[in-house]
Amino acid sequence: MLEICELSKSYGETAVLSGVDLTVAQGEIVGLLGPNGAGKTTLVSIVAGLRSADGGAVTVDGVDALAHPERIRPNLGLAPQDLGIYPLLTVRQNLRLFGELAGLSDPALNGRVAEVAEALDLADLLPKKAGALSGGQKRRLHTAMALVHRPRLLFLDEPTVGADVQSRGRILDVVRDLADGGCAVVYTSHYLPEIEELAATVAILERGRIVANGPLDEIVRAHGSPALRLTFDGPAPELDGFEIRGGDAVLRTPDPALAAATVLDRLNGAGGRLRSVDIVRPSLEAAYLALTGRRSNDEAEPPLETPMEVSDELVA
Amino acid sequence: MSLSRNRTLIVHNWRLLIADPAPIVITTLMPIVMMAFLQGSGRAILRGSGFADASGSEVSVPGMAVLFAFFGVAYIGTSIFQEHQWGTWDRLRASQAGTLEIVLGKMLPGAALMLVQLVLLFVVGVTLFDLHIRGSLVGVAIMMVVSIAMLVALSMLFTAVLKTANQLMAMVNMAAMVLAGIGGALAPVDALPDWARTIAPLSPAYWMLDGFRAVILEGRGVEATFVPALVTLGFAAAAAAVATWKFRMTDVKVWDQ
Repeated sequence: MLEICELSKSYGETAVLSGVDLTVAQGEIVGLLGPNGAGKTTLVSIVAGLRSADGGAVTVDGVDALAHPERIRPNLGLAPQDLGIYPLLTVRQNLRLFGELAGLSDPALNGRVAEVAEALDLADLLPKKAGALSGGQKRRLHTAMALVHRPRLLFLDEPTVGADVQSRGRILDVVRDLADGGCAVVYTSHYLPEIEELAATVAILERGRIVANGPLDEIVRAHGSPALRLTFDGPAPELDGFEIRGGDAVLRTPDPALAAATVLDRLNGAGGRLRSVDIVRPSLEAAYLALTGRRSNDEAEPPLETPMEVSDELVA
Repeated sequence: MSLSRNRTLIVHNWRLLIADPAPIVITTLMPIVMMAFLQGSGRAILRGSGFADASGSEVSVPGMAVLFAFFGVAYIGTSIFQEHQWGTWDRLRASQAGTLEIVLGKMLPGAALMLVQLVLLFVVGVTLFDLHIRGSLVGVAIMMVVSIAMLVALSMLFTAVLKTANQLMAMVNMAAMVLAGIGGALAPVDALPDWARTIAPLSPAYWMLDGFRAVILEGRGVEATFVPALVTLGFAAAAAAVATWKFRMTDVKVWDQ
């Protein structure tokens, strides 16, 4: 459905995309991940025809999207990263606008608006002004506006930012349903558990390059190694083979459960008061950190040396 | 271009325009108040210029109508800046709507609103302020249409070259007061100082008011509006040309600083 080949884009001297290759098949969900500034939004904007590319090729369903952006738009749905709704109009008017622009006839449009509103829990809010909605409701409306015309290629750029738990669940359900119906979805997010929940193909963009691309389990197997983590009250004591970070001592090992039994014996004479023992299972978060050197949900932090310490995929 | 998309966008933008009616109400009521204030001075100036039976509304009504039509330039510009504020501009661009459809969708409702206001102010002038249109009604209509064309082009020019909504509002206010003032909207050009009379023809408002004056005050036929209408259209064409040259759908517009 979408083929991106050697795509490049610079702003002045700064290269934002450097030879990006990416393919998204019909019915596939691709989780496009990367730190802030990695080029995700630029990539989405170029494919959607909102920015020009410096080089490379983008085809959507065989159509050259860079040369003829107008020809791919009937198949394209876009929910940009920043909220984009008309606060002075009702939810229904917001939804109808993009259906009408796509040329949906009145009966079909009414049905589609009802369907999308139902799926995203907006049905009762249709007569309400969009500006009067809660943050989560606005985010669901924002996403719904990209779906009304049944796009075959959908870009959701951080669709759950600012959404409550219920809204996030609704949005993920809709994304799964769309993919089941054959829609190709490009989903950018900093919440990696969402990508795992969607069982998406993963593409990690780092400094304008795709540094990993493949099925979720392959990425995790290749880059997200398991670990044993001991957390102490106060500074962690020195332990052979462990990396010490504040109150945490982390041991990278293929079998953390086996390691735990022997390590706990050694702790008796090591000092320090043990608060918890965690087995960090291989995860996308761990893989992401290994590949980018950063946590997915804390872009402000400096790069970390090890993925183990920050993994939140814990099994006690 | 698709007729149904054009219709959708025109209806959509009309809804947005009237969703917040406060600016429209103010720019409609204020000129009516100002007409009442300025009718007496207009009468004195006109009678002093040899129009013995003038009511004064022959200059105060077109003057205020043109002055506040200049303020209406903000309608179109604001509507584009708001799209950026709401985050909907890129959504429109990524939709099936083309550039021309999006821009026309902004221009036509704004133009219609300005035209309705202009007509309404003349109707109020006739009914409340004893305005007698002595010459060609068609001439009045021609001058209304070309005036709106000029103001729509000016609004697109401002939108194309300005970056923030604050800049837009400042330019609209300045254009209204300077261009309309020097063109004779506040007082007939004959009553302005020499230097102002010299440069008055550089303002499109001068030609707009010249056309209205020919048919309303001097009682002339439609042919008397041809030159002022053509000159006004010339201003419109120049503004539209620069706007087309400078306007970029990709430009970032900032609503607040």
